[in-house]
Amino acid sequence: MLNEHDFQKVQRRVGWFVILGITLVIGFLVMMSFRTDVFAKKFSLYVSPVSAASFHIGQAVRLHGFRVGAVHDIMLQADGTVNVQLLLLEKYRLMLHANVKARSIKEGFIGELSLELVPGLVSAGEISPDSYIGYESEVTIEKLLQDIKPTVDHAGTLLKEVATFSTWLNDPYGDLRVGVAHMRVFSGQLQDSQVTKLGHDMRLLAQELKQLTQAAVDQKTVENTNRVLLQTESMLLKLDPFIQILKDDGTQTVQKSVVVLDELDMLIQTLNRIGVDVEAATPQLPGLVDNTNKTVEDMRDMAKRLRASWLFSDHKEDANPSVHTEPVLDFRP
Amino acid sequence: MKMIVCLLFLLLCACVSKSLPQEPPESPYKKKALVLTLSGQQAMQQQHWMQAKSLFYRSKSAAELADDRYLISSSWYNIAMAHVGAGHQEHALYAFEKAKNHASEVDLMRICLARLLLTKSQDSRWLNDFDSMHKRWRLDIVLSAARLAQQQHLPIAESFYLRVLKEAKADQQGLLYQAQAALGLALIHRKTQTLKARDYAHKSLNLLHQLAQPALNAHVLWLLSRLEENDLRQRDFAQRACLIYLHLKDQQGISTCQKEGVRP
Repeated sequence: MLNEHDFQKVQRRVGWFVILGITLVIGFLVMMSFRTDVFAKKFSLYVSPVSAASFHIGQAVRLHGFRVGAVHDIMLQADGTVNVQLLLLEKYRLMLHANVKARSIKEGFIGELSLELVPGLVSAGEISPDSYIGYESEVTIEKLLQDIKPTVDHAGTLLKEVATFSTWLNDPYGDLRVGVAHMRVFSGQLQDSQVTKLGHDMRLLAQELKQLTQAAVDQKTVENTNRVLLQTESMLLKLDPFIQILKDDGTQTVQKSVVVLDELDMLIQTLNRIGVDVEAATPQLPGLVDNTNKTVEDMRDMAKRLRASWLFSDHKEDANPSVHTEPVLDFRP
Repeated sequence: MKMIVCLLFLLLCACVSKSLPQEPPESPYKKKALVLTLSGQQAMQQQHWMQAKSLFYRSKSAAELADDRYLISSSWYNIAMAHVGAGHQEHALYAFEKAKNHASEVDLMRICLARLLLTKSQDSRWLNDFDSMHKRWRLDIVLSAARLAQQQHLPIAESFYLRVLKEAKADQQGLLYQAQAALGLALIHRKTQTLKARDYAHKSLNLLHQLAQPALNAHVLWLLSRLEENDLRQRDFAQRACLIYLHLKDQQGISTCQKEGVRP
């Protein structure tokens, strides 16, 4: 049986126990509140995205990867626009500037979407609470694909061009193969006989011409001129087979080879247009575009050198095309 | 005889001296500008106006770096033409103004005609400065002049078109000029001499089948559908024209088709 004294002692102990328990609970709550910033001072910012699909209440708002607040409310306005209220800790306000922007980011490929704040420029000044800030949607794979689609289309055109070009190059009865075969026959015959003789005769002629000039000075012009003319006549006779070969094969070869240059031109232009598309779709890849430009310039150089060679030198119109585009005339009936 | 041999010898020497052409070095920026211009022209032929505009702007930048005033002027002209194709009148007029700087006399005429065509001007004073038979005018200028004269209902348009038909070469550019001139002549005669107009339109259509000019092709087909007397052929031409308008997403053409109740 407990007497009154013992009972009071138990009462006091229970009292202390309850007080200690309550103190611990309060202490724990206070500590947790400090840890979770429940009672910290906060301020609001608003974003106005096209759709609220990427937002939910409680969604984390981060600054440089640190959680600085959360999405507090999502409202559909009477005029159909969306307002998203972000509740952020006051202590981070100094780090944000007037041109701060929010953007959706994904934590990993299949992670949750969160909002990342881009602080903006210091020169823009401090951001005031309850102001509206800009919003950039996440660059999704779908969006990237949409952006790059025209480029892919044109790359497809290029591949088609290359395929056509390659088929045409490899056609044994095609213009190029026939052209090259002609060229080989043509140059082979030249090397065999005529060119060497022509060169030799031309050297002789040059010597004779030199002597002629000298002789003119020495007042012996008539005699030497006769010799030169006789030599020239005999050389021209030797040139006959050479001219015949040119007549037979030369024209055809040149014509066929001009087709090669036209095909090359087409490829150059297609490549250039792809360069423009790539530049427009992916400005972050300047290296790729530079490479395309370089290739185009190299190809054009090559074409120009080919055209400038003696074999093609008659095709001046192709080498210097007009820099003015055709007039766009409206002939709509 | 000796004289002939002497001449032949000199000719031969001239040929030999031509065999090793030494080209002066060219500014890399100028080269770039030329390549970009060529690409832009190709895009224009395929009616990719925005792409052409972008290429011509880049060509202009390269020409500016090369400090080549002629190329800068021609780039502005090309930009203007791309805007004309895209239907951006204001931008085109601005670019034409820019193109006037450092333009030669021929280019000034080209710009003047393009501006008058764009603004659908009824001012016929330009004719005083224009002699269609003058050799210095290239066929593209004569063709523009013909179209302008036609817009202003001047009878001289026909002679301009006939000169283009007569002088244009058989290459791709020449065929396009011929097709446009034939279409222009068909439009001139459509109300007075239907048979002649039909002949010209068929000529234009035959030429266009060798070229990649779907918009012009559609216009000729539509004109033929108006000129044809046979109902069946009339419907066939109209349907073919509307089909091309649909593919080209040509709103004006599509609405004309809808108004006339033609279903491709």
